[in-house]
Formats: sequence, structure tokens, C-alpha cells
Amino acid sequence: MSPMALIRRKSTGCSMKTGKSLIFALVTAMFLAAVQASGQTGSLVVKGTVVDASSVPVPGVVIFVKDGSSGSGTMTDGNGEFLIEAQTGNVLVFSCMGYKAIEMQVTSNLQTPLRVVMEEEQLLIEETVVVGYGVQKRESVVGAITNIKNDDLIKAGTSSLNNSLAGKVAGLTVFSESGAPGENNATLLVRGLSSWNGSAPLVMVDGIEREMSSISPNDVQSISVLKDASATAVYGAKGANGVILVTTKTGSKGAPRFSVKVEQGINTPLFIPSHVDAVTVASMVNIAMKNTQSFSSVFSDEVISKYATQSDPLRYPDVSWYDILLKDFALSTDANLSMTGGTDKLAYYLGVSYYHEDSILREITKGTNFTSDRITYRLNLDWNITSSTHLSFKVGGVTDVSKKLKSVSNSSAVFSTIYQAPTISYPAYYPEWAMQQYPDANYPGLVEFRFGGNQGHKYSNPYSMLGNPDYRQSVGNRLMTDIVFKQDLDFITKGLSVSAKFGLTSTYTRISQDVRAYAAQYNINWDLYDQGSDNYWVPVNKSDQFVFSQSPYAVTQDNSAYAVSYITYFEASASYSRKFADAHSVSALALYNQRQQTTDAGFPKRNQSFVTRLTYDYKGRYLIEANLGITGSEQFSPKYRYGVFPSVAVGYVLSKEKFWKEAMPWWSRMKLRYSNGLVGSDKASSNWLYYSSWSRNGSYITEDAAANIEARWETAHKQDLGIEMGWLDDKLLLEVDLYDEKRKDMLMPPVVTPLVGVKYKDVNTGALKKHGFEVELKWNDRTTGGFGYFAGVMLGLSENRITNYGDSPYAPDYQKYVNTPLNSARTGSTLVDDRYFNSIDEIHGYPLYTSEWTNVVPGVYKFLDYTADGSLSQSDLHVLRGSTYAPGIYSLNFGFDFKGWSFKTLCTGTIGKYINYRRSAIIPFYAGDYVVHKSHLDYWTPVNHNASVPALSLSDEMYAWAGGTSDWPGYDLALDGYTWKKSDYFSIKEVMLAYTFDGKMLKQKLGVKALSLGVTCNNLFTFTELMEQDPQRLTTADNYYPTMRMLKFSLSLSF
Amino acid sequence: MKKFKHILILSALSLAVTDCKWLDVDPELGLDDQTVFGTYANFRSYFQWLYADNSGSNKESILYAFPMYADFLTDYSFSWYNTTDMSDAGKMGVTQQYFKQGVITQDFLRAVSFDTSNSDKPLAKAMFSAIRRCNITIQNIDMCTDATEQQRKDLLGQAYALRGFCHFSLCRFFGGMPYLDHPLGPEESWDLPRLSTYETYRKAAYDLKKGYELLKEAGYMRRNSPLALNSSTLNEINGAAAVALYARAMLYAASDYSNRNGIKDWEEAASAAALAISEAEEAGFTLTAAADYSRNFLTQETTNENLWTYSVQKNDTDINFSSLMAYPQSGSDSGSSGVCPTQNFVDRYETIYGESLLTAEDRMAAAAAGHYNEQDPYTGRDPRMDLTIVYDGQINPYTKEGVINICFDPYATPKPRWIPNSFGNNIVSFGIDWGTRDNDIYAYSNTGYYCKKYWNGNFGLGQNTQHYHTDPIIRLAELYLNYAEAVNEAYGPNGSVAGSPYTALQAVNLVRDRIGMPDVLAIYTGGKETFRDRIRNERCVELAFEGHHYYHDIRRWKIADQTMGQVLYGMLIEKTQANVTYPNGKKYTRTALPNNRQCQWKDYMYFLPFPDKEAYTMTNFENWTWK
Repeated sequence: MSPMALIRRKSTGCSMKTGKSLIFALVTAMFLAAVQASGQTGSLVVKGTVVDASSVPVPGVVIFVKDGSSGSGTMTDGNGEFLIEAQTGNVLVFSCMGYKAIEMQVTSNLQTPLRVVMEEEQLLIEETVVVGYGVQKRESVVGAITNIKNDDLIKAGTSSLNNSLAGKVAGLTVFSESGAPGENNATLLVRGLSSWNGSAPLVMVDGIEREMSSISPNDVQSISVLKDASATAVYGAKGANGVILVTTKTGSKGAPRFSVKVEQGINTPLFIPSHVDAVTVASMVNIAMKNTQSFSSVFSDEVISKYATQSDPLRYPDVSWYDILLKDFALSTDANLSMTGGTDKLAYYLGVSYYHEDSILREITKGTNFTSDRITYRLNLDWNITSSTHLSFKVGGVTDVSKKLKSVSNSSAVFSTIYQAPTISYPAYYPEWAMQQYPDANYPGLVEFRFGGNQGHKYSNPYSMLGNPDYRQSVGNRLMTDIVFKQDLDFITKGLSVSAKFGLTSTYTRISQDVRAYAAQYNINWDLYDQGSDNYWVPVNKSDQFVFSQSPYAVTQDNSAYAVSYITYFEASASYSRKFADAHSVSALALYNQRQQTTDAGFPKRNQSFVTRLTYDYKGRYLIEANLGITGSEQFSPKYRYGVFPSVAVGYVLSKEKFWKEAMPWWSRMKLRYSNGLVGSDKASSNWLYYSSWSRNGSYITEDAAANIEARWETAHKQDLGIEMGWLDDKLLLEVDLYDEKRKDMLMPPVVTPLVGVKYKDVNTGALKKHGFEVELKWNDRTTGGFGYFAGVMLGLSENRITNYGDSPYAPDYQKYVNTPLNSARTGSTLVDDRYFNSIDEIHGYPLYTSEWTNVVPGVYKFLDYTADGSLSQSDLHVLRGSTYAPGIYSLNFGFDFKGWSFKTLCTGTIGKYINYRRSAIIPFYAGDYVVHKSHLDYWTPVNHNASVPALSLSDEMYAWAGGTSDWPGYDLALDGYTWKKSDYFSIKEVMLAYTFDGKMLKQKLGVKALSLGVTCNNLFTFTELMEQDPQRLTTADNYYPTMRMLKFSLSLSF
Repeated sequence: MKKFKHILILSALSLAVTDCKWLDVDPELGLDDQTVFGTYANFRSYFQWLYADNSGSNKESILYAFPMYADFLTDYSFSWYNTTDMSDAGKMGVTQQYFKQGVITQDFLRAVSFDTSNSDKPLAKAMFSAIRRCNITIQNIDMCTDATEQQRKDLLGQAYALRGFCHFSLCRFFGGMPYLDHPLGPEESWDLPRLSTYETYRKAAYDLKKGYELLKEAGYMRRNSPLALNSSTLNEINGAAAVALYARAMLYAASDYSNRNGIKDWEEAASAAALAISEAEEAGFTLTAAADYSRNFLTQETTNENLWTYSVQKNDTDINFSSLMAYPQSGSDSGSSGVCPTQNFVDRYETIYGESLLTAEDRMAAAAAGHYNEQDPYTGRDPRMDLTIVYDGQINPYTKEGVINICFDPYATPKPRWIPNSFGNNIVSFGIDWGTRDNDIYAYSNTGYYCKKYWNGNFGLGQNTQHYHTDPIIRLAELYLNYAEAVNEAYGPNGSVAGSPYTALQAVNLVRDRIGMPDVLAIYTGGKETFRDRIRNERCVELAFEGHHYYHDIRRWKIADQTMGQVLYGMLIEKTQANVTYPNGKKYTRTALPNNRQCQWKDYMYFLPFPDKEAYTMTNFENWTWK
């Protein structure tokens, strides 16, 4: 991106910026009228219309005769029409602010009425970047800041703002663990993990801390990602994890301009396990039975042939749960309308978006499926009360209506059940013919559909679970209102202004419908049936919380639950900005703000900060900036309540030096910048850390925890060295950032010996160091033929290490947290190289399992005796390499546009990511149910020693190892290469192709300026070594709603 | 317009200035040291927390040291008794099985010592918290201005006594402890070395005695009266219990494991025991009649024999399914077996004539005298067997069968081969299995016995049939046995402490006489050594499942290697034809338990270690290693 960008200034009316120009226009008009009135003989009357490039009439264009000594002139009216007298040979000048002036000679053969097309003037204005509490020129920025424009966000094709940032900012990690409707908000990390007290960056919307999910990508003007101390020190104790500034669109002068966009999405699930047929499952069950010496319970060949032929599908079913319960695709609809325009006095922007997404789950009982509907809206008004007094009023909000099954708290739970549902144990449901074939003696003659039970298996029948007619619908509302007042104080000294801002955010969530009902479920008791009994249909009993009923279902409602919170924010500031002697640019800022957040009836949280900033640059070459944030929070002790966070940054733009330009004209840009400063984080486990807490507990008084009277902020000392380079008029750009960070005073529980007999509150003892780099390389060019194309690469690597932690001081080093990265696997044990016990001899030659493992047989995992003390116990646990959060992320993008066509694609990938397998995902027959997945087919046998899963067994015990915790033994440990797997991936994240029609024809035929048709695809393909698992996730917990591949067709119109 | 401007600017600036105190908010928690300790009412609310049921998520209750409560109550598949030769865990007893052989996992250790998650009963955590509470009480007692002298002494007396009780309880399980006589502050060393068990017990005894003296001055030797046993403050420790626990601590200090000064320690223990007995008798405590023996464990109301108890309300589901209550009676299919006493333990119940049955020779002698029949082994025994053990053929009025069957039918087809027991429509299995896992889903016994002491005999599931029971912290019978033991060591079977009305032998006979057993046979009272064995046997029988013998007594006596070293037996009972040889129609075979259910004593097993997680915070405090 060139430092000076061409910004098109769009306006359909001739704009006059200040009162002065208004007066000028009036005077001119009066003068012209006078001239006209005087009349002139022998002259020519020129009539015509002035239009802009899209044939829209332009009112207020001043037209005068250039060299006419007597001078005559006029203005176009509201329809862009004019009438002027001139003489042949005269030159008419058409001028209007925002357009290029046109001169036209009056000739004798001039055809009237004239049609004058005025071209919009492309003003050369300096590109600006939104920074903390202000705006700076791009070229004089000395902090590490990445700016993303609205276009990049909208074209991402996702309706979630978080997700649309993926792959667009070097050093910003974006990953999403669920594809559920309304729940697909990605996790964001700036420069990787930062702290065990939370690594989420601060998100500010229009300068006020708010959630990103409340904003539609369509309403966003730009996003700035602030990465280093220079950029974030002004946020003091909230800025340590980076800051993301979202700026919403504002109106601009001119007649109302509308744009409408409608998108239809087709979503298909990714990483869905494929069906393994009943015969394979049954034969694997037989192997498992034999492995545990249960020879009497194996399936006979006769039974297996029934599974093969499906002659008796109720008794010997072959249920492909994903096929039955999932639709081929889910639909989503996205509609967006925006309107902008304004006058000198008032500019407005209005945006309304509606988003609806269906669930990929099949709707079994009408009206009960998971759905999500969301409306976001925004109205931004900017009012110039006088030429120096400005008032902005911004209001935005989001309304969410979502529906969920009540019996399962979220759609993810359904997926957990589907994943574990047995293939060959019971049918999904009993169709009508089942009752014909097997009549129910209690309901003679009745033939109807019946929900099936789970025939005594561990997990619910997912079909009945999903079909049960209970649901809960909740409505959430969030409203954000800002009022900003700004006063220029040029009358005191030029460049001085003051402003005040007031913001209110309120959130209200309520359950609007709570329908409890329970549809009858039945099992068939095949033993009773075989014995000739009539009562083989067995209704499934459920607890009283459900009304056990048959259709029509009893319905009860409970609308009482609600949650409410509100945040108030106030800010006052004075700023000064001036350039002296065309060389020395100076700016200064002093700002105060306070914030209060109240959630339900909780004690409000309060923050306060004082911010100052000074910047100076000499001819745009030498840059220096100093920031100071003093922030306070009520949650720390009065002595340590305020944190002081200073930062300093310097920059040197070599390419602006004369010698540089002369020596290397092709090296268009060379900038060095360096920043150094402190930033903080106020995230803490609880309020009132400085209070020793006594609390009442019924009729008793208890001492909860002893105080940390010195509770204070977590502080990060950050340094950043940046190099920005551009060649060939900035067609090729390279930006490199190197950074280093040291955190201290991180809150964590202190080491208290058991003798003390009381807990102590968190103390500021933790420390962490982090370093890394980011590289961004871009090529951007347009040929003379109008073919524009670009390509880019981004890479970010971030490595961290805990340098101080509340480890027990006398623990062995290999079990300490210190010197390990955040989120590494600490509970892990490593397997020895040859993986499994392959023979009885191997077991006998192995150290003792001093635990509850009672079933060490060939084909089960072999653990490493890490301490080599001759036994396997929890002292063998140690830290494994790697982290579930990828230390390295990269992205590639390229695209082109030509004659209305545009195409772009974006790919993202990770380096060094690991995933933690949960045992349900790695062992076949989880909890003894007859289900296997494709990833389980490569199991250990006496001839297959290099299998990916151990010998088959129906008992979890065989896989269990008490070296874990009692809740999650054995396989929930991280085992290098097995349950702790490398999960790097490369994903084609976005592909977009669009064609835009515009021009006169379109305007005349359809009345629109432009029409564009496009298709985007998100998550087109992911390359990964994992089987049936989403490598983006941190664990393979199967209870996630799958990620979706989203194909969207869009139509947008602007007029 | 300009004015308007100025007003806005001024108001903005003034807001900024006035809000400099924006953060000075008072959380108004309402409780500071002065409020908590300033009034007697609040002070009591603070102190009483250590008696509260479960004591919240921080687990600060002394309940965890009470015998039933300490028995890992919510985990019905665990009992401390199953970690000794006294009983077997039956089904689901893997943890205890490993424990018996000297292997423990960190998870287990944390659960019984420091973890505070829902189901855990962290004994050590609770004791250290309670010690801090006692210390803060002692330290801050002067802040309490509105308490009467009696109230002050009561609070202080309880605080001293419980500080002693907590250290004593810690030492019993975990070995010698540093003695914490003030709350540890932030500037102090938190890593203190251990004392010996002798020092710990003696210091605990000193505190208990001090507590007793203060409580006596306050007039709280007991908190009820012999005539009206109910009282709202029964859960609080009284003077009689404090002095009794003092005597117990002195006894522990004198015992072989801890004894430092030979006979002198025993003499002091004997005097302490004499004092405890005279104070208890003076306060009106007395042994219940034989018919009321079970009331000591099975009623809502306390008895006149219990010096201090914790009464468990019937709806307290936590304790209803303790393994001590013959777990199969709960009717749970997947059920655990609870405590299954071994044949070795059942043999401790003498014949009704007072003959020992411990060894094969003993049994042959008793059989020769016509007092014992191996094929009718439960007839003519110490009455306490019927009150303590569930055995095959035991009369039970609540079952359809009228008796409890713990019997195996080798010819039954199809399975199960155990003979069912029906409580109304509920069929429960007191199955017998012998390690074959024949009846996979039901609870079973590997020994042929279950525990009866805390079970009223009825079906246990559902609110209506849950029953009250009492956690016996200390009762009078123990005082006589403590006295007998100390006096026998110091002065021999017929010696006594000056001023005490009882000799060692008389004290034991008091306990036997109450239940209807004859005096100790003369053949056992010839000398200190032979009588010592009878006192020990008497303790096993009288105080079974009350948190004494085996887990603690065998350790302080330093005989764990012998008791845990013996081969453990159960009684395999098979249905057969009734005839002269098998008068009950049952064939009784003493059968050694499978190898994996035997004990393997190792000397490191004397005390529990702290879990690594806690031990790694200290270096002066030496942890045991179980390896």
C-alpha cells in the first residue's frame, strides 16, 4: 500500500465545505444574476445538463465565461440544468468542488442542449490510520499497527466479524472451534498466547470497549490491530494482549446512496466421520470379544449375515447416524441494506443486516430445530453545529433470537451423542410398518411411528433426542449508544480542540419460550419376543422433569430467566496538532476516561485512566512519539490501584532523504521504527484481592482466603523493531517486525504449605517471556491494460516460555511449569518407540505398573518409565513438546480484477500446532457401545504392530491407566503421537469470484449505479494428516458442532 | 453559541476532576476482624464452622476425623478397614487391594488428604484448617468484649481441646506433626519440621487436658443430662470427652511405637485413664444395658455411654450408603460390597463361655468342650458378633426369608448361584463369589461376611427406610479398655492406679459383663503378656469399626507386621443336604482368599505420606515414601 493513496471523493452535489464557501457561492450567484439581468445582444444562449460519470445530474455547478471581461455566470439547478449566455469563442468553465473543472469552447456549431459529464476529482490526500484515541498519518506511524479496510472484511464471505479477520493480519491468530449457528465466533490472539490469566485482546468499537460479535462486518469502516507497546500503552492495564480497534462507517455528504446486498449460503459440514458398515462393526466386536476371552458372546455367522443382508433391520440394524440425522446442506441468508449521505450540516450512515442460519441437523419434529436469527443495525449521525462544533450520535445494536433443544443444552451435545451412537444395536426409530410387523398388545390395532429408545446402551438414542419436542427460545438484545462532542478551539490557538464522549452499552437476554415435553420412546425386548410374550414393547421411563406424553404434547412455559448488564463510559480529551514552518509537525493529546460495568446484581467494576501522547516529526523523516497511560481499577489495593504505563517510539524514514532518492529511485520506501514500553493486564481471578475475606455462610462466618495486600497489575515490557520497505513505487512491499516481551507480576495462587491451613489470594509472582517475528510481503500492480493483480504472504512466529511460576519449590524440575510454554501438555507421558506391547515377553520384561491397570496384554499401549525407577506411576508424568495453540501461523493470498471481474483467494496454515485427543475419539467401542469410526480400522493385531489404535477391546479398563486422573484415566493423558498429535493444517479459507456491471446502460435500464454478482466459498478445503477430525481445534472432544464449508452466492446493488 | 460551548467544556472538565475518587469504592463486605471477633455471637459463628456438616467448599470440618465420616463415606466402595487384615473390600475394592499391598496412587492420597472436590473427604486439609481456626480463636479471645466468663471459658476450652484433637488425628494417620500453637502469618516460615509421634501425642494431650480444665470451670463436663439426652449443643466437645481424649492421647504416646520413657509413660497413661474414668462416671456416663448396646450406633438420640458423638440425620444421604452399612442392602445393581470382615476377624469372637477361637488349637479345644462346631460356627458365640457382623443364616425380620443368605448353591441353574434375599419386592444380593466374578453385576463378598454394626437390617434405598445412626467418637467402654491396657503395662493385670476403684482385669470385665460375657477366663490372666493379648482381643471385639483397631491400634502396638502378615481366610458356605455332619444344611469351609486379596505388609506403611503436590512445597517437613 502506497503511503499516499488515491482516495476518491464521492459526492453528487457540489459541496461547499465551510460557511465561507457558502457565502462565496451566494455572492457569486447574486453577481451572476445581476449580470444576466443586464442582458447582452448578439450572444448565444447555451442550454444543457451537467451529470456525473454515472449520469446522475449534478446541481450547484458554477459556470462562467472564462475570459469574458464583462463576465457572466450561472449555477446548475436541482436537476443539473443550466442556461447561460455566451459568445462564440468564449470558453465556459464548469467547476464544482469534488470534480475536475471542465473548460469548453463555445463554437458556432455547438449542439444544445449540452450534456456535460464531470469527472470526480481524485484528491491526493494522505492515508490515515486509526490509532488509540486518535488518527495518525500512515507514514508517520511508529507503532506496530495493521490496518484492514472494510472491503477485505465484507469479501471474506463470513457474517462473523471475528472470522473475517482470519489470515489478514500478520501475527493475528484466528481459529474457530464450532460451526454452530450463531455460535461461530472465532478466538483471536495477537502475537500468540500471552498469559494464563487470559490472552484475549482488548476490542474497542468506536473507541469504547465492546464485543466484536455485536457488529456486522458491513458496518465496519476499518479495523486496526495494535500490537506493540507504543500503540497500546495508552490502554494501560488493558492493552497487554494487543488491541483491536473497530471503526464503524460514517456518512458523507451528498444525495442518499443506497446499497443492497443479498447473500444465499449453502453450508456443508466438514470432518464428519464416514459410516462404517454393520458387518465390519460386528466382526470387530467379535475380535474384541475374543481379545477379552468372552468367547460365548461373539456374533454368530448367521447374525452377521443378517447384518449384511439387512433382512431384519429393526433387530439387526445398520444405522448410518450421520446420514439419518444430518441434512445434505444447511442454508443461510444474509441481507444487508445501507444508506449514506448528508449535507454540510449533517451526515448520516444507516446500516441494517439480517442473518439467518439453519442447523445442519435434520428437523425431526417441526418447529424444534436449532436456529439462529440475528438483526444488527447501526445509525451514525455527524452534525456540524457550527464550523467548529461537531456532535456525533451513534447508535447500534444487535438482536438475537435463537432456538435450542431443551433436553440438550446446545447443538454440540447432539453431535457428541451421534458420534457415540452404536451402529448395530438399535434402529434410529420405529416406522409405522414396525407396529404392523410387531403389534403392541397394549395398543391393539394401533399403527404409528414410534421414537426408539437406546435398548439399554449408555448414550441416548440421538434420533429421539433430536426429535423430542422440547425447545427453548431465547432473545438477546444489545444496544450501544455513543454521543461525541467536539469543539475546535482554533480561536485560542490553531490546532487545538477538545472533545467529550459518552457511551452506554446495555445487554438484556431473556428466555422467551421454554417448552418442556417428552415424547414417548419405546424399546423392543427381543428376549421377551423370542419367549413368545406379547409385552415386548417396553416404554422408556424418564424422570419427572419431563411430561411423558404422546402427541399432542403438553407444553409448559417458563419465561422467568433473564440476564442484564450495562456499561457506561465517559471520556474527555484535549488535543493539539499543528505543523510549523512546513517542517515540524507536533501533536499532543490529554485524555481522561472512566468506565463502569454492572452485571445483574453484581458489584460494579470500575476503571479509570489518564492518557497523554506527544508526537513530533521533522519533515516526515524523523519521527518520535511518547505515550503515557495511567490506568486504575477498583479491584486492586488502594496503594497499587493505579498502574503507570509509559512507552516511547522512534522512526526514521530513510527513503525521504534526498541522498536515498537520488541513489536508489527504485527503492521507494525505507522506514525503520522501534518502540519500547510497558503495557498491563488487569485480568484477575476475583475482585477484592486485597481484602482478607470473611463471609457469612448460613449461620456461620468463614475465612475464605487471606489477602494479598499488594495485589496489582500484570505488566508486559515490550519492544518492537519494524522495517518497512517498498520497491518500484511500492508495488512490492515488505514489512518485518521483530518483537520481544517480558511479563511480570502475573497473578497466580501462591505456594502455601499445607500447615498454614488457609488459602491465600492470588499474588503477583508469575513471569513469562515471549519473542517472535512477523513478515508480510505483498505485490500489487495494475497493467496499462487495466488488469490489476496482487499476491501476498504473511508469516508470524511467536514463542513463549514461563520464567516464573508458583511451582512447588521442591518438585522435580521436569514436573515444574517454569521453563515450559503456555498450554503445553503437562500431564503427558511418552510412549516408547515401539508403541505397543507386542508379546507377553515384552510385558514381563517391562517395569511394573504400580497402579490400577489390571489388563496389560499384548496390543495395549506401553508407557515410558521416565524416572527409570522401575515402576510406572504419576512421577513419570512430564511435559511434552508443543502446544495446542500454534506458535506459527501463515497465510497466502492472491487475486486479480479486470473489466468488472474480480477474483481472490486466501489460504491459511499453522506451524507447530498440536491437538489433544480425547479418549472417545481414539478408542473404538467407547464405553462399550458397538460403534467404530473409519479412524479406528487400523487396529493392533499380532501381525499389525504399527497400528494407529491398540488391540480392540470392549472394556475401557483395558485402555485405562491410573496415571491420569481418576475422572479421565489413561487415554486422556497426552501421549506423544497418539493422543497428543501434530495437527498442522493448510486451509483454503476464502475463494471469491465476482462480476460487476455498471455504466450508463445499467443506470438507464435498471436505475442502479452498479450491480454485482459473486460467489464466495469459505473453508473450501483443509489439508491435514488427521482423520475425521478438525485440526483447528485444541482437543478432539467430539461434542463440537462441525465446522462448515460455506458456499455463498451474492447479489449486490448500489444506487 | 459560544456560551454553550464553554458550558460544555467546563462541565466535561469538571467531571474529569471530580471523579478522581471514582475508584475509591467500598465493597461493603460488612465483615472485618473487629466485627467477626468483637461480639460473642459472631465469634461463635466463626468458631462453630468447624463443627458444621461438610464445612463448605474449603472442607474445614473436624467431622472428617470422626470414625464413620473418615471412612471415605461417599465412596461406598472404600473403607479404611478394608486396607487391613480386618476385612476385604469384595467387589470394586481395587484401591484398597493395592493399599493392602503397599501401593497407593497420588489421586487416592489427594482424595483422602487435601483435595476439596465434591466427593473427597480431605482429612489433613480439614485438620489444618480447624487448627488455624482454634489458634485464631485463642489469639483473638480478648477482642470479644460481651462474652460472659463462662462463655469465654467454653470457647477457649473447646479451642484448646480441638487443637489437641486435630493434631492427634493427623498424627494417627500421617505420623508426627509440627505442633501449630498459633496461626502462621505471612512473614513466618511455612515449612516446619516434624516432631516425633511421642511429642505430638503428648502436646495434643496437654492441649486436651487444658481444654478439659477450662470446660470443667465453665461447667460443661457434659452438654446434656443423663435424664434428658437431647441437647442443641451436643455436637460441641465437652469436658468429659476432652479428658477422655487426653487419656487416649497419653495411651498412644506410651504405646510401643512412640514410647520414650518405658514404664513411666505407661504410668502416666494409666493415671490419665483413671482421671478420665472418674470424671466420666462423675458426670453420670454409664455403660448401656446389653439390650441397648446397638443404640450406641443406631439411633438418633445419643446414649448415656457416648461421651461425644456426631449424630447423622436419616436424610443425610451422604452417610446412608457408607460401606460400613452392608452396602448390598441399598439394592444397587452395580453395587459395591462395602466392608466384608475376614474369617480371621470373626474368629476373635469368643464362645459364650469365654474361650478363644483364634487358633486351630483354640477351636479344637473349644470343640472338644462341646462349645464350638465348625459346621455350625455361629451358634454359642459372643453376643457382640450378632450385633457387629452380617453372617449366613443371621436372623433378619425384614427379609421374606427371615434370614440373611450369604450362601452359594453349586447346583443352581441358571445363574446366579447365590441365594437371593428379598426385602419386600426388592431382591438384593449378599452374594458370595470367591473371585470368580460369577455374578458380574451384583455386589458380592469374598469372605462370607458383611458389617452389621451401623445397619438396622432393613432395605436401605428410599427415604422411608433410611435410618438414623451415630458416629461414635468416644464412648465409656473405650475408657475402661484404655485404662486396662495402661494399668496392665504399668502394674500388671491385677494392679491399679491409686484412688481408682478398678484393677486392669476388673475394668475389662466391666465391659464383658455388660454384654453378657463371662469374666476373662483365669487361664488368660496369669501375667502381663497373656492378659495383654486378651485386652487387645477385647478392644477388637468391643470397638470394632469404630476407628480403632487395626488401622490405628496395630500401628501403635507395632504389631502390624504380624496381623497383616497372616494368611487371610473367608468362609465358603455351600448349600448341601442337612445331616449330622452338616446340621444347617450348609457346608462351611475355611478358605484362603485369593493371592491378590491378601496383605503384604511393608514397614513404610505405618503412616500415610502427604501427596507429592503438598510435600513438594516443603523440605524441612520430611515426607514418607511409599516405595
